[in-house]
Amino acid sequence: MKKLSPAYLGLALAASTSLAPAAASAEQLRVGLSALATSVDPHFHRAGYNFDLRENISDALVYANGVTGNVEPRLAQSWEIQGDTKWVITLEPTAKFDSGEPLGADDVVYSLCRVRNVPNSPGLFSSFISTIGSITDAGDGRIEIATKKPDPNLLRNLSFIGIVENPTGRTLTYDETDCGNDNWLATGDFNSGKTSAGIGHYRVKKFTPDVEIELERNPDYYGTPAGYETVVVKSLPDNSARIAALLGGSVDVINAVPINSLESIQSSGSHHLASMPSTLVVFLLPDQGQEPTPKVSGTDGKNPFLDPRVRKALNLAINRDEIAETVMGGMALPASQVVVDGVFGHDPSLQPYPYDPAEAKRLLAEAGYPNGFSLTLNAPSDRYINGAQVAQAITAMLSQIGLNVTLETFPFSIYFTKASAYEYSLYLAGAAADTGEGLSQMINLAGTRNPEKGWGGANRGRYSSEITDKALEDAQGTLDDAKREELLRSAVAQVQKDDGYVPLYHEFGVWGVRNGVHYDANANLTNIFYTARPE
Amino acid sequence: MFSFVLQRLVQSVIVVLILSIVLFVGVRLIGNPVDILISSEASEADRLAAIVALGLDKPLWEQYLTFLGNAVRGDWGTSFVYKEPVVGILLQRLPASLELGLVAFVLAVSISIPAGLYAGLRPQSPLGRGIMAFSLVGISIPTFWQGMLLIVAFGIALPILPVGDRGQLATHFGITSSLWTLDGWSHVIMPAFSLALLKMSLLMRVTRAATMEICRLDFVKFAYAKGVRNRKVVIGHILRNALVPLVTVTGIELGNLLAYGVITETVFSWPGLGKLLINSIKVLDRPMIVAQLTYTALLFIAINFLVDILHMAIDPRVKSVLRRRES
Repeated sequence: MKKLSPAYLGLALAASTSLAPAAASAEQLRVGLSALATSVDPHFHRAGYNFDLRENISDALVYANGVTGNVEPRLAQSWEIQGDTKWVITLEPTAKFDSGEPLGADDVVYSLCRVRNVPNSPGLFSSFISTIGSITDAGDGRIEIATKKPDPNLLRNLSFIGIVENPTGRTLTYDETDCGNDNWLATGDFNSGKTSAGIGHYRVKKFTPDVEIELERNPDYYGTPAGYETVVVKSLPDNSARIAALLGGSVDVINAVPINSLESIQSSGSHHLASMPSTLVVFLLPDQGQEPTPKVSGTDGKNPFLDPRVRKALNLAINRDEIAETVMGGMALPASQVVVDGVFGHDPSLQPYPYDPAEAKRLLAEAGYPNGFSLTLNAPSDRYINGAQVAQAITAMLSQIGLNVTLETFPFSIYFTKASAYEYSLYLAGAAADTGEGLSQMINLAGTRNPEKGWGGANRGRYSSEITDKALEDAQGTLDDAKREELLRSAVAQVQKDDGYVPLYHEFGVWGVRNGVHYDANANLTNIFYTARPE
Repeated sequence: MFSFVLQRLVQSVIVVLILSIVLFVGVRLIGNPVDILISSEASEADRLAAIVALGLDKPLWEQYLTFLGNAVRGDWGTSFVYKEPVVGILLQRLPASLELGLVAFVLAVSISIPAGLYAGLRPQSPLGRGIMAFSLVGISIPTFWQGMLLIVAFGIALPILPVGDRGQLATHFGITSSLWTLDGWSHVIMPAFSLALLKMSLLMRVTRAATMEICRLDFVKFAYAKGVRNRKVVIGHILRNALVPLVTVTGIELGNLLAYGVITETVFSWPGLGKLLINSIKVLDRPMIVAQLTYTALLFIAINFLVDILHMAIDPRVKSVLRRRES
């Protein structure tokens, strides 16, 4: 672009009105995202938008594919399990860091040690490596990982940890504190570009927090090279601004397409949608942990949700097809259970509850509430796609079975603080399978809440069943896939039998894409830039 | 004059101090950032580690004193979310906001004052009425709505202007700005117009009202009767007197443009301070929120101060009042 001296600015102003947006080059992909990574440091903050960037710039040992559900080799070329707790992993021999140094066992040990040693991190990745007891260099480009107990999901957990180059010049001895090292790579140096984020399809050229990230293809990548030469990722948190940027041609791809814009993208003739059901399940959770319960009245101090018949009535009162079709514009899959179809642990024999308000009313009467009771439903106003509208629809549906329901919404920033303080009686929330399989999701949602053990982190309604816990516990220590899936399915079925949850639907991940660009939808809602290509 | 400035300075320091306390307490009432920042699947140990890492384990007064001590030394803290110094991030975003605010300000002032003056001198003329009608529309349409209309009209339906972002940057005289490039101007003009529209309309109405009021006063009639040239009456007498209320309004509006382009910046995804503020509030990035709102307060105080000085220059009566108070 021509540079102008101030004298010509007026002229430029006049001329600019006829300036069309620059046409996209075939070599560059421009992406607009609703939230941008907060750091280039692969170990800095455990949050979805940081997983995005990390997956594109800093390979982990393996990749948990959000399209197929499989675990694929990355920096680990192959692996084998010896006994119950010993994993021998062969590293990719052709992988090289930006410095030209080949990947070594010491880099893996250093990276896993650093996970616990990122100063001022607002959320460490350390629970992904909590089962690891030791990591040692087994020679010949192999490492040996010993877990403290059998851990079937070790590799999936390791798929979150980007491997960075070891700067210490020695191989650290792995332990669960600081591995005997006191000088760790600084987050700021990753952001400024002084330290490379590791070995990835792309390298970060420029990182401007909350504004823009520029990536360029890594020409020395050991695997299939990325489709585009450069990628520019822009922060576009506002829905209408994101849509306008796509339709106006200033970006090629956007994520999180709002429901009310699906039509304008499809009918534009120049853009298409890429979508896929995500692992995120949106559910209602009734309070099963206290009596009386704070937001119910007209029950003489009793908590009606302690009665399984009342919980079943909730399940029957909701017309899931209607919500998916009407409120969600077809961009949701009615849920029969917590784990979505296609994810390990899903029980295909379970069907979504039928919509049966008459039976729901009968169950309420049987439980001793023929005239219903008063209830406040809580929902976040800005967390899930159309979440507030879904909550309104549910309020109406619950009124149909004779409950006197008031809806109360809070912004995300305070919603979960209140939920964790057990201030709700019935609340709407969602939880995804971060690791791409059902065990972690089930432990997080259906395990008896126990912070020390790391169970039931999202189970703020305190559903608890010994049978479910036992099945999940057993699954945690079962390496055999078929047996583990069996256990997981029994846990899923038990939750439904107990009516512990009111699963509503699985949100679709929806991307808007300019014609001429191939972009993969992803069940984990991760944005993979390296599989995008011109077409 | 000197004691006036000193008095103002002391007042300003007190205002900023009180504001920082209110902000510090207020921001803590909104919610707990740990609940937002930490993954819902994280363990309790991770949660506690995050609380310590963010310094939230210390009592509030200790956090405040630490903040104050550091702030005096120019360190406004470290962002929870980005782990970068807050000042650095603010400075990164400031040029974008200044560009947008200044272009909008120049647009607003250069259009509204001549137009308002004309409408005040010729209130019955078709053009005068037209100006009033335009300003009514400008005041009535909410900013986010006209912003989206502009995007739909000029960005999508009639794609002559780019949507979002600052465009290409260039550096001249040590200043890096998008205003040095044609591409930059094509990016800034639409959001700047959108941001300026409300201020423009408001200023038109204020100018018109002031002009009409002054036209009725005796000294204007006397000047005309004396045979002073029309041009001189309008510029030397009417406009100069009308400027007194205008400068006050313009000052506040300039502050608003520079600090609170929140809606426009969000709609046009302009990478300025307004967008940063909204995003910081969403994730409860406390140091960012406190620093940014304090900056805004400082900005307003500085502008008000300038307005007072300008008043003295425009209106000699202000100076004599001050002198009387001092003696």
